[in-house]
Amino acid sequence: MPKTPIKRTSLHKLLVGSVVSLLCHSAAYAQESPLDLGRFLSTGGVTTISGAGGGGIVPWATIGGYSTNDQVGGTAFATHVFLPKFDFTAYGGQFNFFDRVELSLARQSLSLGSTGSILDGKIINGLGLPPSTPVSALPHSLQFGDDYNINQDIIGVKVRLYGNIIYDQDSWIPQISAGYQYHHNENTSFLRTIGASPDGNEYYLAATKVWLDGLFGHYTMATTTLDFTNANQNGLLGFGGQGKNGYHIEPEFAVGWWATKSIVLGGEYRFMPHFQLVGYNALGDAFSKNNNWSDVYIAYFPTKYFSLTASYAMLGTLASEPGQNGLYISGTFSF
Amino acid sequence: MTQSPISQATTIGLRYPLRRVASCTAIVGLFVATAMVPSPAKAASLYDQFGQRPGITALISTFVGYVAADDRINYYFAHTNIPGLEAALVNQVGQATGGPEVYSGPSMRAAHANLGVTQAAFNALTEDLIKAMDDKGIPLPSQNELLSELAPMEHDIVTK
Repeated sequence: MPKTPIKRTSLHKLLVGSVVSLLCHSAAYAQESPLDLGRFLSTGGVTTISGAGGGGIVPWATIGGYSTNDQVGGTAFATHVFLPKFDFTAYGGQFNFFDRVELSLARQSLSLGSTGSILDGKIINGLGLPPSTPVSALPHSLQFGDDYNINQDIIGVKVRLYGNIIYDQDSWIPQISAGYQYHHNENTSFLRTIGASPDGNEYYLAATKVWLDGLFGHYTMATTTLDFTNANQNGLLGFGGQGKNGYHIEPEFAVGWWATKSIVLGGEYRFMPHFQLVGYNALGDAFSKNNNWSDVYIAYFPTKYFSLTASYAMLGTLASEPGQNGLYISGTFSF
Repeated sequence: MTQSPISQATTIGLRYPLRRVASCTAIVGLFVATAMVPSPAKAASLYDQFGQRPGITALISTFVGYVAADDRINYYFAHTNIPGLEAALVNQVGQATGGPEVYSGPSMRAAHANLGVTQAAFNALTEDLIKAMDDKGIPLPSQNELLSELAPMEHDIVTK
């Protein structure tokens, strides 16, 4: 099956829009530019694979980028995860308004590569067909071949409701934000065949606390996020399953510790809903199996304009392939 | 003892028409006044980490130099008596770190009420302070202890 062409239109419009809006704002202010990166280094975090400000797999209550309460800004990011049987890529960007609202757009691709043929073999076997059965005998939507990508686009919005991670050092109350993401997975016929929906909504409430005088006197961060979702593998395998698509409340956690002013070490953990895909049989069980996701990361912020994150991402079983853990590399640009 | 820096600043403020003096005592002083009564043991050690009065005096001198050179915020201080400002800041940081110094100026909220200090300006000033603390080799945990005391002043200082 041919690779789905990557749509560039949306991102392009986003970029043009941002430039125009930046110019308008520059004209309106003389002395203090609303475009400056006015918050402290690293306090915008990095960018999740879904485009939201946060870590790598968990959205935090932080608004991405560095805009203060009277500034606007944005970010762009790109991420690659080298998994044993797959390659995962994500890229996108945000607009950030007044340290209050974060609008994000992201596109994800899970490249099956030669693993596609292995999955075809498993399906042939799981359906009880002789091993010599040609792939072309399978339903069209289950023919992966050697060059199949699962693609999804994610539009997100996050609003800071209360608190400030930096200024509220005299209070235990965290910064609290609410977020929403709409996912559209392009592999609609494949997903419908396995019983999932290609479109999904995700709602979350995130609380992030930063202690400037934290562990060993260094900045220390803790985040708890409650995700209201029915996504399989963050939506890569669609939403809901055989006869069920109910939402689940899934907790997510992240911690970070600033080893220096510009280097943050930490980890994340997110629970995942579990739905039965394909059918109630051995093949279905194999394809439905998933694990909670986690990572350990190191993020480097040499300047406010750019950050680089390296992580060991542990995604567990993905599309019946166990042990999908690997190196995660991500960069976020801020403007 | 000479005239206190705060009353110097007040005099200057009366002499010059702008609100800039307020902003100087403000943004700077503002910084320190609110949150400073840590426990004696902890405070004493923080004061030592900052090199007591001589160390703090050198720190403030470097800090004010950075502020003066910082195009993001130095216009707030265009009409400020710099020596008076530095003396006020030494007292403020001295008090904030648990030293014997006493800041007796107006509250941060009162001092900044009409200045229109932005969050970006507050942060820029803090970045200059961090740069100065780095220059003086103040250990990161000590820097962060001071910053965590100063950070909540944003609520009183930033009005825009």
